[in-house]
Parts: sequence; C-alpha cells; structure tokens
Amino acid sequence: MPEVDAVVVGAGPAGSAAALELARAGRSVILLERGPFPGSKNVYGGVVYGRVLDEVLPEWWREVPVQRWVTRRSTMVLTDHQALTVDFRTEDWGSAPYNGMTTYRADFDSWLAGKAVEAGARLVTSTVATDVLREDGRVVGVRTDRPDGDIRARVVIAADGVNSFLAKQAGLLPGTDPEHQTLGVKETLSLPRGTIDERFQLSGDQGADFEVLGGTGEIAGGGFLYTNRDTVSVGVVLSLTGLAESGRRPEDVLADLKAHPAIAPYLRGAELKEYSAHLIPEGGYRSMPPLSTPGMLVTGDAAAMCLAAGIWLEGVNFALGSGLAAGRTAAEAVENGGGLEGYRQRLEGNFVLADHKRLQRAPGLVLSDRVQQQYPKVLCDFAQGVFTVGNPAPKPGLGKLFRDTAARHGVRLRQLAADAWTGLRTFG
Amino acid sequence: MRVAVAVSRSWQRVEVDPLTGALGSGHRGETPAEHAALEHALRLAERTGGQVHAITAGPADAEGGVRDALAAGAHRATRIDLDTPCEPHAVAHGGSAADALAAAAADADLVLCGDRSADGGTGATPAFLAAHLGAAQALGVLHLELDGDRLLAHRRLDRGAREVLRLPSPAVVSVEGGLRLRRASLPAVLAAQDAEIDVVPWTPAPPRGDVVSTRARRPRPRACPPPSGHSAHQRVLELTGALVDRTPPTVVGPLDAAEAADELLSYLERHGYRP
Amino acid sequence: MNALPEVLAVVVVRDGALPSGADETVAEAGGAVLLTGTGTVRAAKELTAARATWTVESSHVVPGSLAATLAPLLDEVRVVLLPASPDGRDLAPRLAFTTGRPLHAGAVRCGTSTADLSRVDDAVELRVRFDGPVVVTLAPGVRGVGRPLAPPEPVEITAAPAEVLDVELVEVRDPEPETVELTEAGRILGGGAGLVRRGEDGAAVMRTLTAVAAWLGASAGATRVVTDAGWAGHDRQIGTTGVVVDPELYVAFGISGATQHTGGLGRPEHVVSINTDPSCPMTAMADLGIIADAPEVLRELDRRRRDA
Ligand SMILES: Cc1cc2nc3c(=O)[nH]c(=O)nc-3n(C[C@H](O)[C@H](O)[C@H](O)COP(=O)(O)OP(=O)(O)OC[C@H]3O[C@@H](n4cnc5c(N)ncnc54)[C@H](O)[C@@H]3O)c2cc1C
Ligand SMILES: Cc1cc2nc3c(=O)[nH]c(=O)nc-3n(C[C@H](O)[C@H](O)[C@H](O)COP(=O)(O)OP(=O)(O)OC[C@H]3O[C@@H](n4cnc5c(N)ncnc54)[C@H](O)[C@@H]3O)c2cc1C
Ligand SMILES: Nc1ncnc2c1ncn2[C@@H]1O[C@H](COP(=O)(O)O)[C@@H](O)[C@H]1O
Repeated sequence: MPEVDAVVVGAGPAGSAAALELARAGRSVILLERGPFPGSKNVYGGVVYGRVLDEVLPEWWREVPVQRWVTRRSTMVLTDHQALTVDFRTEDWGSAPYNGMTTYRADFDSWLAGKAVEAGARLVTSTVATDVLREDGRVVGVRTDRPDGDIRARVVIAADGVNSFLAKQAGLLPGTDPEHQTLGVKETLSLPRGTIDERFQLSGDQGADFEVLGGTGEIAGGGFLYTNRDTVSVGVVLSLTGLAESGRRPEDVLADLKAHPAIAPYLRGAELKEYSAHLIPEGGYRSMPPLSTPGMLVTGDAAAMCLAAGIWLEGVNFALGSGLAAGRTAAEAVENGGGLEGYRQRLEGNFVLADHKRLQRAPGLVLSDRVQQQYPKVLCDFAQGVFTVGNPAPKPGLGKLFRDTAARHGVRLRQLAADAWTGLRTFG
Repeated sequence: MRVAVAVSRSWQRVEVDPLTGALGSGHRGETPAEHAALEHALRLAERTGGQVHAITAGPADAEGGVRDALAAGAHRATRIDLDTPCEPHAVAHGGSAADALAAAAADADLVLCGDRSADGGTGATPAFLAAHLGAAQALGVLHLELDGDRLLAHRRLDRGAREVLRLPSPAVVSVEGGLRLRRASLPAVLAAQDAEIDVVPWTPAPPRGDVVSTRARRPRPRACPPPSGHSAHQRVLELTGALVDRTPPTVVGPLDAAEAADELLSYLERHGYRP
Repeated sequence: MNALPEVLAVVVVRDGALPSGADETVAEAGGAVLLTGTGTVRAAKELTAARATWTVESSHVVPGSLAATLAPLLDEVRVVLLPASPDGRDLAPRLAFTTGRPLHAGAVRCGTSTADLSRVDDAVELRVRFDGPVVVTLAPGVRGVGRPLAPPEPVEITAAPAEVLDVELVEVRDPEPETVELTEAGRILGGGAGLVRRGEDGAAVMRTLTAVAAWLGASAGATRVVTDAGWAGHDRQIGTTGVVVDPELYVAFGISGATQHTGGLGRPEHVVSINTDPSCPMTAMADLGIIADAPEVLRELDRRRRDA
C-alpha cells in the first residue's frame, strides 16, 4: 500500500493549495481528483479574488489563466419590473496587483494543480476517495475506487467540496443540511467579444461583475452576471428550502432573471454554451463543522468556508486561504510529530475566519424575508417616487415618501432600523 | 505478438465561434475509441504472451496519455515530439502524424488505433500509417478475435453490413469505441508517473498554408430532381408537396399501456410496417 | 476515349452495389466516374448522375491493392473525388499516399481548385485551396442529385492487379436491422428523457428499446439527454450535433422535440409520439400522438415481443 506524508482529496482550489504547500515543505503528498482533470467538474460563477495568491507565487497575475480583470462592479436591486443599480468602476483594479478576475474553473484549477505538481505533489485523476481508513479513532489514510486503492497517510486533508463525503465519513459533518445550503445554477452564453465590450462598457481585458439582489421571485436568493472574454456567465443562487416550497425548477428561475428588462439587453442574441448547477455552503461561520479530527483536516467548501452574503459571493479565495493553512499545518505536524490543532488558530489569525466571524450574521440577514422580498420593493418604489415627475402634483417630501413607501410594503420603521443595525454590525 | 497502440492527445473540446469561425480549444485527451484500442491490445498481449507499446505523437503534456496506458498495463511507451496547435491548418489536415508514428511502430506486428481522434479527426491517420509501414489495414473495426494464431477483424460496411477479415502481419487496425478500458490499480498509476518514456525528436513536414477561410458550418442547399408537372402551378405543388395526401394528425389518450401499445401497433399495421 | 478527365469520381462498388453518396460524388465531379471493385459493369447501370463511366474490375475489395492498381491510371487526373463511405474512406488515404497527393477528407463541396471541409462535428467549415493534384472525399448527403441521367455505356479498363499486402476477406455478413447505422435506417424508435424514470437504469431501458425496435424491424436512436447520461452510445444520438437520419417512420418515446433533435430527423413520412404532454413539439409534429406513460408502453411492447 502506498504510504505518504499526506493525501489531499479534491483538486479544487483548496486541495491544490494544500498540496502545493505540503510539496513545497518537502513532504510526500498525493492529490486525488475524481474528474479526468482538475476543474473538469467544478462549477462556479466566475470571479476569483486572487490576492491570496501572493502567498502562492509572486506576480501570479502574469501567468494565471485570466479571462478579464474586474474593473466594474454593479449591485442591482431588482423587483419584477424595476431595477436600482449602484455602479462602481475603477481603473485601479485594471493593473497589478489587481482585485478580481473572471476565469474558467477548468483553466484555473488545472493551473493551480499544475503548480502543486511542479512542486512535487503527485496528482492522481479519475480517482474517487470512497472512505477514510481509521485506526484507534485516528484517520490514517483513504480508500479509493481503484484496485489496490488504499493509501496510508499521516495526514488526510478533505478538500472535496460542499457536502464533503470525507468529513461525513470521519463523523465531522452530521449530514446534509438544506437550511445552510443554496443551489447555484449558471449558464455560460456566447457573445462576440466586441459586443460584450460595448454592452458592458469595457475595453481591453477589463471585466464586469454584476451582483443581483432580488430577481429570484418568491424564492430567497440572488443572482450574478459576469463577463468573460467572449462569453458571459449568468446565474442564480437559490435557497434550497425556498426552491422546494415553490415547486419551481431552478432553470425556470434563471430564465426569468435572464428575461428581466434590466438584464435581457445584456444578453440579447447570446447563444447558450453550458448549463451547470452546484450546491453552495452558505451557512457561514455558524454552520462550520469541526475543522480537524486526529489525522484529518477539513478545508474549503468542505468546511463551509464559502462566503456568500448578498453583495459577496466568494468561495475560491477562502478555499485558497484555508487550503494553504491546512497544507502548512499538516507539513509542520508531519515534521515535528505534533497534532493538527494549530489549523484553527492559523485561520483565526488570517482573513479566513476573521471575515467569517465578522459576517456570521450575514447569511441569516441576507436570506431573510424582508431583505429578499420587501426591501427591494421599498427601494425601487422609493426611487421611482423620487424620480417620477408628477406635475401638477407637487413633489413629495422625501422623508414622507420613504415612510409611505415602506408602509405600503408592510415594512415597519422599527424593523428597518433593527435590520440596519444588524447590517451595520455585520458588514460594518 | 508485438502490439503497438497509437493514442492521440488531441483537443477534447474544440469550440467554433458561430460568427467568425475562429477556433478555440480546451483540454487534450484521448478518445473512448483509443481506450478501446488499448484494451484490445492488452487482451491480445495477454492471450499471446506479447508486449504492448503505447505511442503518441504530441507535445510534452501528451505523455499523460501514454502514462495512462502504462498504468493500465502497457509495457513500454514512446512519445514522438510533435506539437499540433489547434489552428485551422492542423484541423483541416488529418493524418499528418502518421509518418512520425510509423517511425516508432516499425517493429510491431499489429498497430491499434482509434477510429477518429477527438479534434475533428477524419480517421485517416491509421490508413496513412499502414501505407507508411507497408502494412495491411482494417478501419472502423467493431470486434477483434483470435482464430488460431491469426486475428479476425469485424468491420462496418455500408448500410450496416459487416465484413470479417483475416489480418496478416503487419497490420494496422482502427477500432470504434465500446470496449471499456480496464481500471488501473493505484500502485500502477503511481508507478506510471515515474516510468521512463522514450522521447523521439521529430521535425514535422513544413505546414502547407492552404486553408483560405474558416467559418461556422452552414449546410449547402441540396439539389433535388426537377418536378415533372406540365404547368408551372403543378410543378409548384409538386415541389412544395402542398396537396399530397397526408395522414391527418391525431392525438389520442390518455391511454393505459396496453391501449397505447394497441394503438401504436395498429398504426404500424395500417401503414404497412407490420404484416 | 480512354483519357480520364481532370476531375474524376472514384467509387468502390461491391458485388454490383453502389455505396451511399455515390451519385452525389459523381454529380460533384461533373459526371465523370471510375467504378472499381467487384461487379463494376452492373453497378454502372445503377448510376443516375454519370455522363461518362469507366470501370476497373478487381477480384477483391482491398484498399492497398486497389490503390496500387489505380494509381498509374490517375496521372492526368487533378481532382480524385471519393464518397466518404466506409470503402471510400478506406481507399482515399492509400490512393493519396501512393500517388503522393494531399488528402482533403470530409469535404462538403469540391471544386477544381478549392474544397470546403467540414470539421469538429460539423461545427466548422474550412476552405482549402490547391493547385496541384489532390484526393478528396465527399461526405454523403450534402448536396443531393438533380435530374436523373440515363447511365452511359461504361468503358472497361483492364489494369494489371498489383500485389500489395492486404487483409483477406473471410465473409461479408448481412446487416442486422438493429445495427444498421442509424443514418440509413428506414424505421427508427427514438428514446428521450421521458423514457427513463428517475433512478432507473437507463442503459437497460435503452437495451429494451433496441430489442423492441429490432422486433419491429427498426433501429433505436436517442436524444442527447439519453446519450449524455451514458444510457446509449453517442452514435445513437439523433440531432444537429448527433447523426442526421432520414427514416420513413419515426416513433418518439418521451421526447420533447427540441429543434436540435428534430433538426436531425429528416422528413419522416410517419411520425408517432408517445408522451405525457399533449402539447410538446414532438407530439405537435406527429401524425399520431399517443398520450401515455412511455416507460410503461415500452414495457408492454417488450412483453408482446417476448410472447410473439
Ligand atoms: C453557481 C456558483 C457560483 C459561484 N461563484 C463564485 C464566484 O464568483 N467567486 C468565488 O470565489 N466563488 C464562487 N462560488 C463558490 C466556489 O465555487 C467554491 O467556494 C469553491 O469552488 C470551493 O473550492 P473547494 O476547493 O473547497 O471545492 P471545489 O471547488 O468544490 O473542489 C472540490 C474538488 O474535489 C473533488 N472531489 C469531490 N469529492 C471527491 C472524492 N470523493 N474523491 C476525489 N475527489 C473528489 C471534486 O471533483 C472537486 O474537484 C460559486 C459557487 C457556485 C455553485
Ligand atoms: C448546442 C446544442 C446542441 C444540441 N444538440 C442536440 C442533438 O444533436 N440531439 C438532441 O437530441 N439534443 C440536442 N440538444 C439538446 C436539446 O436541446 C434538448 O435538450 C434535448 O433534445 C431534449 O431531449 P429529450 O426530449 O429527451 O428531453 P426533454 O426535453 O427533457 O423531454 C422529455 C419529454 O418526455 C416527456 N415525458 C416525461 N415523462 C414521461 C413519461 N412518463 N412518459 C412519456 N413522456 C414523458 C416530457 O413531457 C418531455 O416532453 C442540443 C442542445 C444544444 C444547446
Ligand atoms: N498524434 C497522434 N499520436 C498518436 N496517435 C494518433 C495521433 N493522431 C492520430 N492518431 C491515431 O489515429 C487515430 C485516428 O486519428 P485521426 O486520423 O486524427 O482521426 C487516433 O484515434 C489515434 O489512434
């Protein structure tokens, strides 16, 4: 049976980062991936905030397989017939060290796994980890679906994504938890590069990132629209429970968003290239499993480290951050025979858990009925009230207009103040 | 029996811009047919006490394919160093790797290939390879069997007919997909990652720059026999089929399974599809 | 009139039977054709697009020897055009190699100095220009043939058979209806997503469909949903990105009738759709729409097949 210092399950961003760190520390590491190549099965929206890559490679932006650099971020608040958009653009994000990039996961994941292999990790693809091996209550390796497929390892790192099978096998995840997961569905649509540049007002390798609040009908969730070089990605993120209650199909919800008057003009004439769907762990800090057990660490989406809170949908950077930390912890533990407790501290000490702790109330708030259903309507109606010229009626006072609008949608100002306070404490 | 298997590392996902016809490409890999070829080769080698030699003509990352072959049980692997970027010229001209492959397969009794590589290949490589080697060829083979010490190949002909061929040595055979490649054991996969691969340098023939345009495919109009009617009106009717008798569309049901089956079978009977 | 023209179709015949795409190739070559193989003179009478026919009879249909036999005759011919049928695809590269010409395989149009090649599953068309002699294969079904011409009297050429290492023919087996390549099937039963219940073994369902199809003298085809799920081979996928078929009878089991599917269906004279949804496009284009549970209907048909 092969024996190694570490086996990492899943060559997503978390797993490749962990394997890279281990290999750089001179540890023997096997990186298992069930797909035929890293990224072949991975779904996501399309924006990676890559700054954490500074720890992987100096000047990573020179070689990372980027589609466009995000220089324009819009947040759209939608009702079924209105849209209120806050639009921000900056040239600062269009040059090194950059902020966010759109990239295809097949390219990005392969690139990163390639870095791990270059450093000495052994990547084994088309191979599924089917169980953990244990001795005396300790995880000592994994079983794979290949003949003679057991591997012994001093540390196992579960980086197998949302609903981690490994974490479940090791007893760390109680089971699937629909409350804390959302379903992301996404379409990739082709458009000529020039058309994308024109419609989104971009040039060169600039890209746009639109996040959408509302727009998913009666189901709690949100949407996004990102530009690649000659495709756009459009998708919705839907609460699983809401989706089940509505009895609708996720692709119908997405079709409605695509047909929204504020979105449709961006997509006119585009051809469908790809449709995909994937779960997102969305519970945040409060739903994270224990991050380690003797012999095993859990990282990335497997540990629910995706940050999904309204105006943010960031999982890759958290996967990278936690993967690097897991790799480092494992390398040290192998080297000096210690335990794996340092992992959590490491994460508390950097952005991974710091951000999650700060934003721990966000998922509850963002998915609440008021934020989902009432506030978009209040905001849009208020904006419509402000901008409608109702002559000969005189212009209303803005304070009164707002109070009236809120009341019409059943929003009490006390609630609003409370949510604003939660919001401030959450995001502030 | 010395069996060589040619595994291509061709572009798996060639994308064509529907407006400009520009080509884009995704990952490289082998096709199911090439995996089937490899499985045939491994089985034949087992039965005859022979050796399997995996060959690819491609850039360094093409070694993935022959390493997979080694992991599955091939004895030896060779890569001929030759890159075919995904550009119109390479896509237009299939079979250009045959001379390179011939150099490595010269000592084989049997060369097995896939019937088509992934990036719009035309299946011409195996035939060119046979020509280079002075070997017999059987293309599009569905089934291979040993008959004494000779091989029988079942090959697809027009309209679903098959021919059964006895192969001399040397022979080049291309097979369709279908036979699944065995699953390599984990130790074998790891061992194959470190295995030695012979790399043969190669100078490709200079490219013929004969592709003059690239565009998304649009079917061309089809010629049809001219209508024979006497008047223009009749000819128009004939061309459009406007007054031709048609079965009036009917929708029946909901029916249960037995009724539905009766309905279907009697329809087939009425229209002469069943006795 | 032994001199062969500049553009010549070369068509391999077996036992007097023309391959698919023969007349189209002849038409594309302007009517000049050289028939080779077995039963060439008989086959010459079946041509509908020929203006001038030559024949080179051989004792077997084997690509190596045929290429070596024909090569010396083709010196004056600039464009040698073969149908991309199994025998055409077999012979064309050998002819190209033996005569030292480039091969332009899978053309959808061929002129005297350019050819349009279809690649990447018909997604792209590449035009190549040539000024020297070439061998081209023409994909069947791309152009059709116009007004039928009376077959001209063939000119027989006797060529010395060349000795080249080739395979040895053991036997030719007649097609079994269920394995007839879909493209040529006159009757097709198609399976779609609605034929497989959630959690059911789709591959087994498709095997049943194939068995029932064989019983009805038909072949089984599928939609992309079915082939993508791995329940049927990709060669079974009918549609714009699958095979293009042209049956007389099409029976659709649980197929919604997306344009990408029906786009590959040709113009069947008789269409039956078995679907739970009376208003889906497939039923709308059917002569007979049966509103029923497709999996159950298939099971019932299979029962009757066994009892028969
Ligand atoms: C629709 C959608 C949009 C999103 N948009 C964004 C965005 O714009 N920006 C962003 O930063 N994040 C986004 N995310 C979140 C992001 O995709 C994830 O947080 C991130 O991919 C997590 O990385 P990971 O390495 O932990 O897991 P994954 O990327 O899920 O990787 C897990 C890997 O493990 C492999 N694997 C699983 N099980 C096994 C096994 N048993 N054996 C072997 N291998 C196994 C899988 O094949 C996979 O390669 C989005 C997610 C979705 C669904
Ligand atoms: C670029 C592109 C190319 C494509 N190329 C092709 C192609 O070449 N070929 C192809 O087929 N598709 C192709 N597609 C896919 C195509 O668009 C459709 O998705 C596909 O054809 C639908 O297959 P289906 O009818 O089996 O499934 P569905 O559309 O899901 O239809 C299932 C049908 O079954 C019915 N049904 C459900 N349950 C039952 C039951 N119990 N009994 C009876 N009926 C039932 C439903 O009413 C429905 O009509 C392509 C798509 C794209 C984007
Ligand atoms: N570059 C290559 N290296 C190895 N084998 C090849 C290569 N190109 C083609 N082949 C073999 O020839 C078959 C047909 O390829 P093609 O002629 O490109 O359609 C493939 O399935 C392979 O078995």
